[in-house]
Amino acid sequence: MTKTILQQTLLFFAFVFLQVCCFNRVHIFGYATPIVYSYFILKLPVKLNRNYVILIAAAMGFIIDIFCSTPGLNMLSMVFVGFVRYWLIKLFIPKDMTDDGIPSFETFGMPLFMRYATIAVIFHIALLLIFETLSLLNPLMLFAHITGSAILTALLIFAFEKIHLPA
Amino acid sequence: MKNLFRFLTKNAHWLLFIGLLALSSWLLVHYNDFQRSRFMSASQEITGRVYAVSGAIDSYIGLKNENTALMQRIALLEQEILQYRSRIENLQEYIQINDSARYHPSQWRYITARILYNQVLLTKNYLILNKGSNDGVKAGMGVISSEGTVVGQVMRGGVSPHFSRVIPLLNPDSKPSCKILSSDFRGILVWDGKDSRYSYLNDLPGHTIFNTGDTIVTTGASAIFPEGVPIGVVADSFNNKNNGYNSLKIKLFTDFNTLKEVFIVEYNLKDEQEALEQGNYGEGGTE
Repeated sequence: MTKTILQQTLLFFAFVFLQVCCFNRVHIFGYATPIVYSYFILKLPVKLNRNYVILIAAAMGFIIDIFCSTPGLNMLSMVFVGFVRYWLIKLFIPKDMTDDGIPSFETFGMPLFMRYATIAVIFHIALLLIFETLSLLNPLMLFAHITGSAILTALLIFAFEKIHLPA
Repeated sequence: MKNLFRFLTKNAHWLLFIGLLALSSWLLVHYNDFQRSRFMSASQEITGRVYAVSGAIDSYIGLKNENTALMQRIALLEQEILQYRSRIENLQEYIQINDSARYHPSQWRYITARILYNQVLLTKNYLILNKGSNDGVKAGMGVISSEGTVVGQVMRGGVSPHFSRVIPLLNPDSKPSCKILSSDFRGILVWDGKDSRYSYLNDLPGHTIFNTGDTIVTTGASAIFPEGVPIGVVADSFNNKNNGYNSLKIKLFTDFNTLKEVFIVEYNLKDEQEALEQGNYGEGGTE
């Protein structure tokens, strides 16, 4: 258990680092930016206390905000993601899964995990971009941004999962 | 107490969620200029709507006072009409009035208007009225309050199809010529930009006869206002020894703070009079 906590902490900062230094600089066609750090929250153990999940999500958002100098923006969307994760897991968890595993292709099965991750990612990115613009002045542009980023992020997460699977 | 504690621990995630939500929203609005401006404009929109509703209610409540004032005014005018009518009847017995004089139409036309926007606090104030060129308003026309006192003059270049901009007496650019009712001495009224209740009548000759409390009225010379529209009363006087002219401090009749309904007055023969003043009446082919 202690090992996993250490691992998780390292992973936490690895995700922050990756997001801030790498993914945030990607703007494919000016529309799609991968925002993958919510993947860390998705991969927390199923049985982890909801309060911890919310706190970890908020902390992660806050640290990313500090790097991006947008205080509150990522934090706000991450608080939402941490909050709804419980219901998402409840919705998609297979009936026969009882141990305190980690959501993945292996434990959830590919279709269920894909749905779980996609909904969470769309939710997160939609909130993030809506709070960033805080207006519906240009709804088409906003929609294109959300769709592009969500698709790219989901694809990246599936790719991560696929690589992890054999290990 | 035990139940409450249990309830709180059971729903801690809700409290945590709301708390963190509040914290992050505060951070977002407080530290990000763009989000703050969006927040401010949204809240301004909401407060603006609330003010519009409360303003509508206010004006509705104010209708009662407005109505009584109007009724009083109507009663006064009715009384005056009766007086004139009886006077005319008396006179008719002595004088043979010829038909052209009897049916001489009124040379002044009144357009009612409401004030949409009213400033009193600046040094150069303006009013916006809800009538424009579509309603027959032209630049240079006079504006009179519903109490029959002088308000100002429609600004040159200040008339759009539905609205017009007025230079009130509370603007140094408004310089109506006026006279002391009792002695007919003339001067020019200029506002000093300070107190919305008082203005100053300048350029009066040194030998002007006046008393505190004398009424000041329009001269009717410039064809903006009819002759004898009340402006204010003499409140104080200054004797300027340098040039031998007198200055009077005038307490204005019109209360610009509560002004709502006004009349725009038009002199039907203004073009004719101006042409005559410029000396080209009948020569330049204007008539």
